[in-house]
Amino acid sequence: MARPPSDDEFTELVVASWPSLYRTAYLLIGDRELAEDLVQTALAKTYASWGKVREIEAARAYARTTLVNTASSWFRKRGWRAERPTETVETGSYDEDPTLRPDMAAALARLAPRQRAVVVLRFYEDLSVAETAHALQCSEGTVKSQTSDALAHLRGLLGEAVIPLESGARHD
Amino acid sequence: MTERLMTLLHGEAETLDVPPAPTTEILGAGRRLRHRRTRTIWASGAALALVVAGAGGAAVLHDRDEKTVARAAAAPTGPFAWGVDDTVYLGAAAHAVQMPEVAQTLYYTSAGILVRTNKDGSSDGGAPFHFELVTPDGTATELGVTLGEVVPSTDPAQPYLAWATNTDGKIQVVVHDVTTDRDVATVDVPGDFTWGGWSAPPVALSGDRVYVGMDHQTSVVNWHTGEATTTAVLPGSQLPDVSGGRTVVVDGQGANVATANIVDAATGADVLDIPISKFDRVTLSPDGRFAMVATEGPVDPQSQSQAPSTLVYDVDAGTHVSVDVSPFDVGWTPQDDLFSVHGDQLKVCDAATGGCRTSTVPKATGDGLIRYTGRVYES
Repeated sequence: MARPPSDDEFTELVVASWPSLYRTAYLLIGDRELAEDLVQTALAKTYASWGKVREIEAARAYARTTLVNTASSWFRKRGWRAERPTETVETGSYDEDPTLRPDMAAALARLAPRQRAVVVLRFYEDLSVAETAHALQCSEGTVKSQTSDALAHLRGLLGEAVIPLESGARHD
Repeated sequence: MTERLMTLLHGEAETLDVPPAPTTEILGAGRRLRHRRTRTIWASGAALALVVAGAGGAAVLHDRDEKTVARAAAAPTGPFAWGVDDTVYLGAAAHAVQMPEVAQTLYYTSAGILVRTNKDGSSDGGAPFHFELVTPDGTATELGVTLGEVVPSTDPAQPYLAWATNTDGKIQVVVHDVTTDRDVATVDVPGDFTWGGWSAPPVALSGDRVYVGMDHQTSVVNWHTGEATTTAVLPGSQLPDVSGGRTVVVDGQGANVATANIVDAATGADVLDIPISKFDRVTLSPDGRFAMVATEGPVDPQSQSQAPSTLVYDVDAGTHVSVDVSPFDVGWTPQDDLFSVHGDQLKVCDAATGGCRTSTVPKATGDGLIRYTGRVYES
């Protein structure tokens, strides 16, 4: 098994990767405290799995994958929030005035957890369909259908100015 | 066609107020994950003996966020062990491993159980001390290390033994890899050492750091970098006791009512406060997840008998249970269970629930004192 990192090496990794992981976690979860828990868990698992990580350079990617996997398991096992009804949400409220910034967080909160994860991984993390399917441990077909459903949902919430009708999957 | 969405997502992320990274908590949780397996809960139902701190004094828990990471499972490690005279017994099967001398202290390391041996099992005046590394399969290998009257230390998560030397007043810390039987670091430690009666200051190894009990301060040596500093968390002229990066600091020592603060040894951050009396002494499990309160004074004024049971705190959860074992006759397993041996009876108790089970083991051939893994035998 690879030698575990020294305390200083691992602390350096944590400090360097924390902000980015936290942002991804927040977008995935939508809750600051849970996002913090999620990143802590992912980094602790990374340390504990050093035999697989082996090198400090690979640890960031490993931690990110672990974070997504952990979030995915939370969605499955913790009776994660069910999809909320959208009838009361204002739709199409965004126009071309850039000072009227759409409430992205509120819109994400209206998505089902899996749809939200797909959106974050594909359009924030810029993962391909295959990479997203691997991260979420589902089929590529599921990713495509979830992406389509999520974009349709977001289009209704944010307007066509943000999600044009012809929006489709990128780098499938 | 999703560029606007991507921009908005990045904009949302960038406006977040990112909290500081809790590096110490993550490192500690990572270590615990690495060296613990999922706990086996023998007791049926959580209601058995789980007591939220209440009557008799409330424990104050800090940094509850750490619970999330501390709950996860980790890989199993080797067996627990106890020693009687020149025999070490491994695990619930009590596999006997012969030692060349009397087993005086049994230390956990990531490479196996390191047994300190000497002529008669005494700690005071017991030098020279030798060391045998006992791997989980029962193989014992003698190390080329001979120590005098010093207090060495291991970290259960690492394959190292650390101790201090004193050459005409020059104090050095030595870190020895027990798998290769080679020294991996020797670091000078500034300061004076005259207290305690040992030939060199006592040490505690935790992660990269070796805590050294000097006269006027506890020095902290980063043995990877060779940097030696001092800490305000631990006082001088005190045997450093650091487990899983945590230590016990007593507020009001000697008073009828005092507080044992479980703190992060590196930062001094409070993790749990335990109310104690002047007769109580608090020690940590080898990985720092549990704290055991031992009442050292007589419990029953008439019988003068000492406590037949002990309070054990889950440091992360802030809960405590009463466990039916004597705090003076018990060891810790790698999974944070408490165990004790009386004759041919092995009792193993879950430190989180207090539930115990007993099994029959071969009786020790010797009749000397029992030495348990996870306990320190120094004087």
